[in-house]
Amino acid sequence: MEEYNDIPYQHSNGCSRCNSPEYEPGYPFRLCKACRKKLSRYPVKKEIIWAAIGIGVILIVSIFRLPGYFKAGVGYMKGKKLAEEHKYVSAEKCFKATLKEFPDHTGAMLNLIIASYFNENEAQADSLLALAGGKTIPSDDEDLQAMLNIINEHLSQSDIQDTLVARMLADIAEDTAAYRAKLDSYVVAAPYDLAAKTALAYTYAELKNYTLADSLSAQVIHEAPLLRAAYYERLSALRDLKRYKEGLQLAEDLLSQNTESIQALMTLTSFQLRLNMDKQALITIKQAAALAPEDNSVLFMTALACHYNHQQNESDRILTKLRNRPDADTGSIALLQNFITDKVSYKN
Amino acid sequence: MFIPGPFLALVTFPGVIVHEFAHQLFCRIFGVAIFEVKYFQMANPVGYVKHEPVRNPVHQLLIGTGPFIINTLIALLIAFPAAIPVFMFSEGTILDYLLLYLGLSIGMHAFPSTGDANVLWQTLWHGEQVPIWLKIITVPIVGLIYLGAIGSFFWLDLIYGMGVAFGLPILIVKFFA
Repeated sequence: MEEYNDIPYQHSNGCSRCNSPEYEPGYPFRLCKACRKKLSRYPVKKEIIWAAIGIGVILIVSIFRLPGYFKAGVGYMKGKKLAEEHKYVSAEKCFKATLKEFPDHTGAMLNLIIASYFNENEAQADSLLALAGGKTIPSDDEDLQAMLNIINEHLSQSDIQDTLVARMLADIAEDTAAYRAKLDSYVVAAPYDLAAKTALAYTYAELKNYTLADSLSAQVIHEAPLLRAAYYERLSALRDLKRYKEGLQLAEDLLSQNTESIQALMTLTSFQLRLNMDKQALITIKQAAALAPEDNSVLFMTALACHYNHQQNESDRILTKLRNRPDADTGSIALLQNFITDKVSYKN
Repeated sequence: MFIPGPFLALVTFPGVIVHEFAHQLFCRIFGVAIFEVKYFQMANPVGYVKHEPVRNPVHQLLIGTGPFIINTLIALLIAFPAAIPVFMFSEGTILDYLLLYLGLSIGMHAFPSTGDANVLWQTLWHGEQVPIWLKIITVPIVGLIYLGAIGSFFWLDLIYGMGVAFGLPILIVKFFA
């Protein structure tokens, strides 16, 4: 692979190729303009032209697929970056787009499982986990593997481990006292069963024993810091105990796991409003509204935050919007109207 | 592992052809007369372009380093659509692997040869009426070409080809993410 620029034999006078006396001056090798032009256009061999055309055709086919592949590749990388930043709503969109182009891609699917879990979509995480059952987790991604193990464990912790006890509890579900007593004794016997502890916390909350509900869900959070269901249970208990500052802190902790969690953003807004942090509450709920602008619960909280920030027109506009929705809960609409007309105070 | 140059060139012959074509292309762009082009042969050198001495020394610089520009660009263009499905999603077709082979072959022949470096040195360093800035530029370029030639004993040309054809597309995707 070389180039040579030696001067070959030249005619004594004129162009070395055609002997024309009108050769171009200033060149070491004498050639007339026409000969130089012709020689500079040295023909490319036909075989090479045909090979180039063949490669060109393959390339055109590939380039035709490129936009989809490029979008999927960029989407996957962006999704991973967003997941690292704990922005799981945006990350989920990216992984879903990647899976549309490459439905069998394990990495995108496993990341989507994690995103679904943190977006409180346990059903989707569960079904995807079943789909991904036979797939090998990339061994080079230890963080992904560790997170999947935790989520897998937490998803299995959504049901009481002892199926016999679970069946008995289902049978006596209507009898609250018997249900609580059975669950209580089971939790004592099987303190490792976090689903049972969470269920017991819920039962105590139903019985308005918020202190025990708080204590039990706090134990679960201590044992499994990523078990999000227990956070919501405890947040509900703290709200009913009027321990708003602790609730605010816990909601922030929950939000740090997924900074785009709509439910966590709404819960944080509710604690901020109760602590008279009205401006912050409006900022928080606007983050949720940016992610889920048409969600009825988000619209409810936005109307409320607008009301406490003296944006009554906006609050009324959202109430009208909710009223016109066939899927909106009439009880919630009535409650919202009472809140924004100050008939009932949301903060107490 | 020692593989004789012509045999390695045989396996990666598309790169040799593009390398010579790049010299030829720049000769054509600058109107430099070409006397002979050998796109590939099983001898040393495996390919060559014979052209007249240039009038403008800048033209010589671009004719000499043309393969670095052209081979790199073509290798990237060919490998890019195939590298994403193969390396990011492990879902390449036979066409993708063909394009990656072509990209690698073309990319690894991007480095100008020591013969190209000699012509550059003779024309630009020893040449008359060559501006000083061009002489200064020539020194590192020729130095890099010789370093590349030494590096090819340690598969530097292969590493470069892999970098362009396999690594760069993924880096570009990461950049846009």
